[in-house]
Amino acid sequence: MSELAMPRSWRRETKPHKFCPGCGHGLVLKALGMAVDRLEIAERVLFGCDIGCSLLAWDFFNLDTVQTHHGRTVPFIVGAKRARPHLIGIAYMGDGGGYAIGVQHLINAVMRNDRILVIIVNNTTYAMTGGQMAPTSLPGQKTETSPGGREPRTEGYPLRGPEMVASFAAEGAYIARGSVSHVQRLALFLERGLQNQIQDKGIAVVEALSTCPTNWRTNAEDTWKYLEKEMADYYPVREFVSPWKENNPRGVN
Amino acid sequence: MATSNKVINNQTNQGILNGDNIVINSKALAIVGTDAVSEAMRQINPDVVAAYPITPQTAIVETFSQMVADGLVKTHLVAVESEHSAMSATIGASAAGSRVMTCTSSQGLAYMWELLHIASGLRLPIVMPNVNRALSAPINIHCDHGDSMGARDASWIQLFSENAQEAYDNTLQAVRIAENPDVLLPVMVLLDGFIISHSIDRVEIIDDEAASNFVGEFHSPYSLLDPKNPVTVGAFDSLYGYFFEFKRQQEEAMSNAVNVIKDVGQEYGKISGRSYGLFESVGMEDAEFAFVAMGSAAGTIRELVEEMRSRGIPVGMIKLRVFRPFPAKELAEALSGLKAVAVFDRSNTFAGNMGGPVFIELRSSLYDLQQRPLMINYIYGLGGRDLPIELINKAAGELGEAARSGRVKQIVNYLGLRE
Repeated sequence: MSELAMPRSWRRETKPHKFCPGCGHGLVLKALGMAVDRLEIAERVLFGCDIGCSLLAWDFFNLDTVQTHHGRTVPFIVGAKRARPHLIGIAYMGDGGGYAIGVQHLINAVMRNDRILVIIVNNTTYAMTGGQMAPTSLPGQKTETSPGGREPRTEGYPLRGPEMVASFAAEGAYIARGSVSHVQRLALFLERGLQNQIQDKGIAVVEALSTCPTNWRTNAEDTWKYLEKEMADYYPVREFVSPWKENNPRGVN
Repeated sequence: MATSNKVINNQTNQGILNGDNIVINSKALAIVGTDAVSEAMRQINPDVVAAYPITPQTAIVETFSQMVADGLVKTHLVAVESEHSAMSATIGASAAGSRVMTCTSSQGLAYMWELLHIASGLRLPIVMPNVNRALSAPINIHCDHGDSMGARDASWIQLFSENAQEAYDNTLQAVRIAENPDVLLPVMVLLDGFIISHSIDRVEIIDDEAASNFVGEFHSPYSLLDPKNPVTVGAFDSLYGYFFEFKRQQEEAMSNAVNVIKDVGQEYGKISGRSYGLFESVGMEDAEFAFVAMGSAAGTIRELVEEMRSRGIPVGMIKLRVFRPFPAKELAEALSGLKAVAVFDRSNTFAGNMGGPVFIELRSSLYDLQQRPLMINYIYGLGGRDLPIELINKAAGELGEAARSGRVKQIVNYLGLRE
């Protein structure tokens, strides 16, 4: 089947999906669907969604899915994985859940090198609650709680999550940042992240740069410009830690 | 915006004032409940606000953020990473001697739980509007009182609001109640999620100067930033310390709050024309049976009570404003002699069919009466389920029947449940 079509692991009855027009979540979930299809692991996946826009993915796939509470998707999936090691555990969260209210879980899961895949969708804002400042909001970015623009002097600089956890990740961990502006590459990163779990190498954390035209108040052109220029400038798209650099049948980026 | 400068002749929608004719400077705005709270926060002008977004509270802090950015307040606004941190930062700032606020809802309040006890245990006069929203699971963003009821034993004063006007009025009064030297307890101002928070209402905002004078300046009795009087807060207090005594003092402070809430409510009436007590009585003078409710549902019940009254039916309503401290003595006085009482609860205790928290506490309050009214409990509106007047009418029928027959068919009932 062509990968341009709907991934097999998607649930057709719930399409078209519930995300806003222009939202990047659909593309991240497309990349994840492609990776799950390629590895033929749909039967084994436990997909957990966090609070925030990520929760709209609760009926997105034909995968066992759980709605967790805010910021706790990682420990939920860690617990499930410890109880059922055969499961492929995926924690799907936004930058609010991953880097603010749940950041301690991300840090500790990476420290323990738990065999799970954490996907953090970074759209530089708290989107579900209406566009407040997030740890990932760029300097000068206007949000509902930083109406004058994020001021680094008092509000600090945006958090680079993958770089942070890569600094202490254990052997076998896979840490990368992809972008919805390059879905095939993002799918490759997610596939490597899932392989990491299947082959019991270590944790995988994949951040996906994503779009939120609703809260950015941007048109299509400005949305992609913001993603590809300003976000990608601050958040480099690459692999940070990978056991897959060599002998990878799918090639290295 | 309509600005009014009116003379009110003692009569208010809440009751009768004791004073002379009063002059009130206010402006009437058409605003949502969250903006009414933000307006109160602007007038309070707290030193520090630390908050984290959660539906449906978010809009309060959004509007307040704009006020900070526009220089309308001198508040330090901290966009923290979670509600746990919001309450922690609030506690820190309060212990440092400043006037502080935060706001939350539902899971956010639940996540603050351990800190709620620390705030009250340290006797910090923090004021926190909580926009009532159901607790997960399953996840739901709409109104019920399950979130704040989870904090009913946390030694926080709890003031419920019927509409946006009361949310505004309660927020201003909360500061005075919390900071009273005989109280020094944190106060939660409750407003129903979406029903109040996101509905446009007519709200009278009193003159900035009058509000500012009413709230007054805060002088912390035990500031961490007073080098002449160094203090330690919250230190280890074990078997041979005074832990038990501190907890007894908290109970004393909560009891003291009853009169303070009444006094502050009367004083507020003099600048606003709206005086407040522990609860509001509607048609209770000659009522034979009555409803007891909290929050926005009281508005719907009031409608039915007035309609039934016009048909000569001896029904009344008590709208409970203050849930903590629970005004047991005053409620027992107000309800003694009635034949039957229906208590509306927007949350459940899951105690094994004991009924909702208001019902359980009110029932206990009436135990010592010589002639106790029959009591029926209606649990309604969980997760935002609507409470149309038809359902209250159904309850009214059952209540009237109980009063006539002297028998309650079923003590705990669910209104609007699909079964």
